[in-house]
Amino acid sequence: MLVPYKWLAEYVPGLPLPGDVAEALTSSGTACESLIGEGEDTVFDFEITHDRADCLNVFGIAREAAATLGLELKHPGLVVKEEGPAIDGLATVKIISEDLCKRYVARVVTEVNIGPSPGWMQKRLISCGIRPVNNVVDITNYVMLELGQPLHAFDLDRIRDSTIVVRRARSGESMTTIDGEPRELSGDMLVISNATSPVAIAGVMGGADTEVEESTTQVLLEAAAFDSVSVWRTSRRLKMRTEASMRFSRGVWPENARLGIDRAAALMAELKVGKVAVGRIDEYPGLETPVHIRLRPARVNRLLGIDIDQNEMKSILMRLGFILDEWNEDSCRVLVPNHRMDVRQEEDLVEEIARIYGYDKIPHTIPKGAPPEIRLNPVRRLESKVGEILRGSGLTEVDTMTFTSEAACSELRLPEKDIERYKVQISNPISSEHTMLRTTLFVSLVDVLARNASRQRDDVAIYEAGKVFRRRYVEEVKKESGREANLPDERKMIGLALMGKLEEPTWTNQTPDVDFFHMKGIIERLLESLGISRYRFEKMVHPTLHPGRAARLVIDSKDIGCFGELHPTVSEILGLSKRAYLAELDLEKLLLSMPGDLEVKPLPRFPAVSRDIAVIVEEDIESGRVEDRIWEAGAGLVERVNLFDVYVGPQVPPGHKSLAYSITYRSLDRTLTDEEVGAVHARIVENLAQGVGASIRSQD
Amino acid sequence: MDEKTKKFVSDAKKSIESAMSLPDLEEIRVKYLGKRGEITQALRSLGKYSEDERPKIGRLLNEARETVREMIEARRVEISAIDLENKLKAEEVDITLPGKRPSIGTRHPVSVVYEELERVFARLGFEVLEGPDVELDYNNFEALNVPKNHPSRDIQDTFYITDDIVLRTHTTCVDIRIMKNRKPPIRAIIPGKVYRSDASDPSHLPVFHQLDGLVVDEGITFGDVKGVLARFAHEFFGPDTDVRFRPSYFPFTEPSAEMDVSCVICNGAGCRVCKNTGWLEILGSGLLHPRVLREVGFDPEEISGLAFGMGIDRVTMLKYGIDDIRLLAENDMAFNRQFIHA
Repeated sequence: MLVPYKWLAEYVPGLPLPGDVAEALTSSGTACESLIGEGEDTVFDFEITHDRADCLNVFGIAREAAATLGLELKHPGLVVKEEGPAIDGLATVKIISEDLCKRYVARVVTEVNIGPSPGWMQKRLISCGIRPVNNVVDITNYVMLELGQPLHAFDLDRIRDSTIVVRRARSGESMTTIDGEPRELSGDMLVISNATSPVAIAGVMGGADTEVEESTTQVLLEAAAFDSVSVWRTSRRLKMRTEASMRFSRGVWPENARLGIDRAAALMAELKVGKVAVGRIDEYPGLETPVHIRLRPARVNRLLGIDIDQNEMKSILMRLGFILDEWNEDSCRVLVPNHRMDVRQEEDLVEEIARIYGYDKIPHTIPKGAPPEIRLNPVRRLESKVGEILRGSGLTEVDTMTFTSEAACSELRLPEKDIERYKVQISNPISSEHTMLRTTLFVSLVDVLARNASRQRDDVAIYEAGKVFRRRYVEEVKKESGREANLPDERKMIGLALMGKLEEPTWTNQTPDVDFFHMKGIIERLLESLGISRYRFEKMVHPTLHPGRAARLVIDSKDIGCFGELHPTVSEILGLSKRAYLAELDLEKLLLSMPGDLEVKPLPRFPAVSRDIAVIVEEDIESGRVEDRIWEAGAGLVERVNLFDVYVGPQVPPGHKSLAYSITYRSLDRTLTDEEVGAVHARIVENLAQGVGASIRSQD
Repeated sequence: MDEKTKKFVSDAKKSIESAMSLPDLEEIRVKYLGKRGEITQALRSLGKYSEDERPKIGRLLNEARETVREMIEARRVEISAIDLENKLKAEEVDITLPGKRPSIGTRHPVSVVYEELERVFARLGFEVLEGPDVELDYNNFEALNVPKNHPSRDIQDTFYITDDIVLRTHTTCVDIRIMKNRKPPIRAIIPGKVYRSDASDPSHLPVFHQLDGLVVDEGITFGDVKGVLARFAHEFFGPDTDVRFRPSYFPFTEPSAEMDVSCVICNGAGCRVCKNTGWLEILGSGLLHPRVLREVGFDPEEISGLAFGMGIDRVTMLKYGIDDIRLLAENDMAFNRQFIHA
C-alpha cells in the first residue's frame, strides 16, 4: 500500500525521517517494501499482512508508527458543519439482510456543485494510485485512503423514492455498474436497492444509474460495514476486485463507518462542495459487545522465552490502544480496541507485546527437551542411493513438474479409457498444458528429451525420482472409510531416459548411440548395486514403447516396472532425431525387494575352471531360456554364465542363431577335476539339446 | 694355450662390446659358451693334454669362461637398459590429448540443496517425513486455521481437484498428519513439491519446492523459533550471516515471524538481488496457533510447538546465482550438467 510521507506526518507530529520510519515499521511488522522518491516527497510502499485490515489506510499506519516509535497520535478532523435541512425528510434506509450488513450510515449533502477537487487532494490520490474524478468522488476515495472506510456517493435525486434498501439480490436481477458493464446478480449477493431495483453491489461497485455526475445537486453518502465473506464471494464471482471490495473482504469494523462518514461530510463542508444536511441515518443491527481477553503476564514470558517486566507489557498494550480493565500479577483483563479485528485471544496479545518490545531483543534458545529418536526415512534413503548409482552410470538428475494434459498422454499413445479412468483432474487449471496430474513419469521424461532435442542437445541420459498419481477405483474408495479414501493413489517412481550417446566419443573411438541393452544394463547394474539378484525380465507390450523392444521387470513375481524403446510414432511426434529409451520402476516396491544387511561370502579357496560353448538354436529361442537350461543342469557347480557372442549368418542354418557362452565352474569345497567338469558340461549340452533344441556349434 | 685362452677372451670382449641387441648377445654366448661353443669345446678336449698341463689349462679355460660370462651378463644389463629406454621413448604420448572420461551424471540443484538442508537439520535432531501432494482441504487449510469460503483463502491461489481436495499449497499440511499420529516430542522436516495457481514467470512456477519444519514439545518458546532458525542460517549460509526476525502473519502461527538473512550476494551492502535492503527474506515461522494445537488434540496450556517453512527454489537460486526459476523446471542439459561439482 502506498503512503505519502507528508500525509502520514500530519497524524504523527515529530515523525522521524522516512528511512527511519521504514525501518521501525518493518521491524514491528508493517514491512516497507520500498521507498519511492526522496525527503518530504517520499512515498512508502508497505506490505500489509492479511490480518491487519486496520492498516490499509494512512491513519492506520500512523497509529502503528506512533505506537512503534512512542509518539503522539493526532486524529483527523471530524467536526461537521451542518447547514442543510434535517436528513430525516430527505432519505430513508432499511436493512433487510441484517446478517450481511452490520451497520449502514448515511448522510446527505444538498446544493452540491460538482467540480474538480483541490490540487493537494488530487496529488495525494495520484500518489496513492487513484485517478481523480470530481470533488465528491475524490472525497470518498480520500477518506477511504485516510481512514480505511470505503464510501459510496449516490445521486440522491436518481434514487427512486429516496429509499435505500439493503437486501440480497433476487435471482434474475441485473444492473449496470459504473464501469458500464451489465452484471447478472444472484440470490446470495448483497445489493443496495431503491424501493424496487438494485442501485449498487454492496461493497463492490455502484450502479451507473445513480452515479454522481456534472448535473448532480444532492448526494447521499454511504458508509457501511458489509460482511467480509459476502463481499469477498461476490467480488470473486463477478471477477470485480475494487479498492472497496478488497477492504471489505479483509474486514471493515462497524465503528469506522461513523468516523468515515463524518470525515467525508466535514471535508464536503470545508471544501464547499455543498451543504451537509443535519444529522445522519445510522442503522446498526450488528452492534457487537466489546472483546475482552484474559492475559497472564507469566504466560507471555513463558511463550516468548524471556522475562519482560509487567510495567513494560502494560505500556506496550496501552500504546497500541488496548485498555487494561484489570491488571493483576496473575491474570489481567484487556479490552481490544474495535479496529483490531485480528486480536481475539491471549496469543495475539503475546505477539503484540513481542513485536513492540522488539523481536530482536528476544534471545536465541534451543528447545530444552531431549530430541526424539530419529527414525531414518527408508524411502528417502533409497531414493538417494538409487540416485548415486544412476549418476555413477552417467545419468543426470532432472526435476519436472507433476502436471500433464490429456493431449500429452494421448501423444504417448496411452489408451483414452486409461487416461479417463486414472486421471486426477484439476478443476481450475490455468494452462491447457497443465490440466491433470501425471499417471506416469514417461510424460515428463519425454518432455525433457523433446525440449533438449529442440535445442540441439541430442545426447541425453536422465533420471528422476518423482511421484505419479492415479485416481482410485470407486470400489476401492468404498472399501476404505473416511475422507482419506478420496485421495488418489500416489507412488514414488524412478524414471530413466536415454537418447543418443551415453559416453562421449573420444579421439580413439567413436561411441555408439545407446540401445535397448544400455538401458537394460543400467537397470541390471542398479539392481545389482541394491543387492537384488532374484529378478526376471519378461517381454511385454506397452503403448508408449516399441512392441518388439519392451520388457517388464519382475521380482518375486511382483511387477516392479518396465522399460523399452520409445515407440517410433511417439518419437516422430516429439521430433526426436535419435532413438530414445525409457524406464519406470516403482521405488517403494524396489525397497520391499531389497535384502537385509549384506553378508560377506568366504573368498573362493579352490580354482575355477572355464569352458566355452557355442550353441545353435532357432532364432526365436530367447537367450534367457538357454541360460536357464545351463543353470538347471549345472549341479550347483556353475558359478557364472556369460554370453559373449550372438551370431546370425552364413555359418549357421537359416532361421537359426548361434549363442556363445563362457561357463565358469567352481566348487566351494574341492578342486574340480577335468572329469567332473566334463561330466557336468556334457549334462548341460544334453539339457540344451532337450530343452531348447540346441545343437553344439563348438566347444572347448 | 695361454695365448689361445687370451685370444678367446679378447675376441669375445670385442664382439660383446659391439653387440647391440639381446639376440646378438645370445649368439655370442652360444659361440663361446654354448654346448658347441669354442670355450666349451676346448674344455671338452682337455684330454688331449698331458696330465701335467691339464690342470693349468683347465684353470685358464674356466677363468676365460667365467670372464666371458660376466662380460655377457654386464652387456645384457646395458642392452636391456638401452632397450627399455628406447621403448619408453617410443611410447611417449602427447599428454595434452584429451582423457577418456567415464560418463557421470549430475544432481539437480534443488536436490543438492534439499540434501544439505536435511544434513543441517539432522544435526539438530530433525527427522525427514513426507506426505501426499494431493491433500484434503481440511489438512491444507481448515485444520491450519484457514476456514472454507473465507477471504483468507486469497493468501494462496489454490488448485482444486474437488471442493474437498486440493493440490497442497505448502507442506505444512503434513504437520497436521504428523501431529495427529504422534505424541510429542516431535522434531521433523517435511520436504516436497507444492502448488499454487500462479502463471510461470522468472520468479513463479505453479509447482515448486518447500521445506517445512515442526517442533512440538512442552515448553517450546518463541526464543526457540529464533534459536533453531538462526542456527540453521549459520550452518547453511555461513557463520557470518546475520539474521533478522520481523513480525508477520500466517493463519497457523501466533506469534509469527519472517526471517531475513543478510544478503548472500552483497553481504548486506545492498544490491539488485536484495533490492538494496541488504536483507533477503528466507522463511516464515512462528509458534503453532492454539487453534491448530487444539485441532490435533493437544492442550495449548501444556504443549507448544514451532513451525517454519521455506521455499527451496528461492534458496537454490540464491545459492547458485540463478535469476530465472523456470531454469529449475526446464531441465536443459546445458543447465543441469553444470552442477557436476555441486
